[in-house]
Amino acid sequence: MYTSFSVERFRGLTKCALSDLRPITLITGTNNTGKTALLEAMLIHAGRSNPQLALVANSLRGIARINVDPSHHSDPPWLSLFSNFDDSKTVKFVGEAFNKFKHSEVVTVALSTVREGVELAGLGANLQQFNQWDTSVGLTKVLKLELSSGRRPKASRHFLIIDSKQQRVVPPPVVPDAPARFISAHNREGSEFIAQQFSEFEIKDHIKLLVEALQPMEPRLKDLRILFNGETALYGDIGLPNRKFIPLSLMGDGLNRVASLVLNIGSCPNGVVLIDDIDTGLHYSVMESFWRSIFAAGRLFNTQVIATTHSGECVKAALDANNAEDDRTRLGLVRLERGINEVKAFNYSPEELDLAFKADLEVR
Amino acid sequence: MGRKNLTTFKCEQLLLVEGQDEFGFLVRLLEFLKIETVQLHMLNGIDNLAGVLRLLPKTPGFDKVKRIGLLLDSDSDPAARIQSIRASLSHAGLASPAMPLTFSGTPSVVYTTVPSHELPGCLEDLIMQSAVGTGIANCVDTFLSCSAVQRTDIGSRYSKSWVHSLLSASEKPGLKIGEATTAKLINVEHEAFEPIRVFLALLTT
Repeated sequence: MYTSFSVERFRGLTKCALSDLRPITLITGTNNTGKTALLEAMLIHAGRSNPQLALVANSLRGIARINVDPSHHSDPPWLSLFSNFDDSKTVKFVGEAFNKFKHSEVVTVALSTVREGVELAGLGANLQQFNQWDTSVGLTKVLKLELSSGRRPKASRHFLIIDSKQQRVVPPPVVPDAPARFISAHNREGSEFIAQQFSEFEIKDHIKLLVEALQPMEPRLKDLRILFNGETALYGDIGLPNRKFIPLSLMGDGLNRVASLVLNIGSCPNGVVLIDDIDTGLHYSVMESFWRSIFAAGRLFNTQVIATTHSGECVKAALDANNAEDDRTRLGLVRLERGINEVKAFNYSPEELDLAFKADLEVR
Repeated sequence: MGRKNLTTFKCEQLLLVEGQDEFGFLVRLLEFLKIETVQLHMLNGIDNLAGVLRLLPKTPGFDKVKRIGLLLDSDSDPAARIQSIRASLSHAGLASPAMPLTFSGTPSVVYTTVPSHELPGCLEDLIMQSAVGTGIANCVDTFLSCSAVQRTDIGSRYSKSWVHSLLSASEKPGLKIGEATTAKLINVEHEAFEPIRVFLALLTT
């Protein structure tokens, strides 16, 4: 679980530091303050040694171009990750989190473009020894990821290499200690993921949690099951005659969103789920029950949820759900505000959120 | 159904008042004085004072605020109220002037209490002063004297009971102080409100 996180020179976040992150953390702020970028930064950081996540972050924004034409000068495909498109400086993420041994550990991930010239030539010579460089193609664009932590003060280095033939990470990334997932505002999980994750829930007897999360939106829902009808998909039993089940995908965006979020939380035990615009597709009337489900799933799987929102109703509902928990310290809110040289972060505890709502003070 | 809009700060001068009555009264008084540079915000209860002051620097737009004024009731003990204001300001990391009606810090902070920083009471004391001797004011005196004999001692709440009795007998019964001020049942031009006018002049000049 992240307790603090800071970013330097990533997208529009020249500098931003968050502290006192909670198991359920909401991030608010006006448009273009860097909320989504912060989640992307955390995704890259959580991936530890995988520089390919830099391209994943771009694809989440709809930037999918990864081809590099060596015959022409072209920008590296990760250039937009660097503040002001200036990749002569290093992007840096520092996160403090509890590791699997429940010890607090500070991990630094730094990204930089390997410059053409001596550095690139040196890297090429190195990789050639390991048959990782095809001299006929030549190295074209290389992103360097340096990972260091309290446990491993000596940085490990991983390179994302893109040439006209392929892209690859050398040495291959190591599976991180804790899983992480990023869910974009309009994410719709494929039926394969849903089926796979639902099966995990079934094995561990967590179906009730999912059904209860969906019932506020579909009170007739009695049960869920995986069926094969051309493809494997999740179906809902809403009491129709002749055991006729309805594919979940036909039951509305909000319902699918909640199912996806709960299943994603379940897929990241002891990890973190990063959710952009968490309230997308949800009517205000189901917001509190939705948040109760998120709190319950987060607690059950020990998954941290870090989510952005623009909605005051969403914040209030999260607060009400928090205040119904035995442990009322699980929720935190961080409001981002763009300053001159940095994005400032203002923390709100549940008590402060309570008071802000009582006194009609904005927290978004 | 959306929630009401929450407050962000848009003006250089911020004036904090206790509740709806003070808020409604001040809105009308600021209009009368043609002061447009002050943003009013209510605490929704004096108990929220310390917490709201702590939240101010986190609230969107606070970087625009150059001056913060606090206009609160003295209640039974003006010295204790002032002490409480100062402690709350300090605890929030804001400047805490040693004396009422003086500025200190950045943003500049100034405070006072009503009816004055030397007298116990509340806004209703000033409203009562402004209405004494007019219209049905004598009837209100008689009514409250009678009810004091029949019932309980309203003591420190006398001016509140007096003002609400007055308003209940007006041509538009049931109005709150803010609404009554807007309906011109309370005369904001009266000299009884001079201490508040002095405070507003200090805050805005």
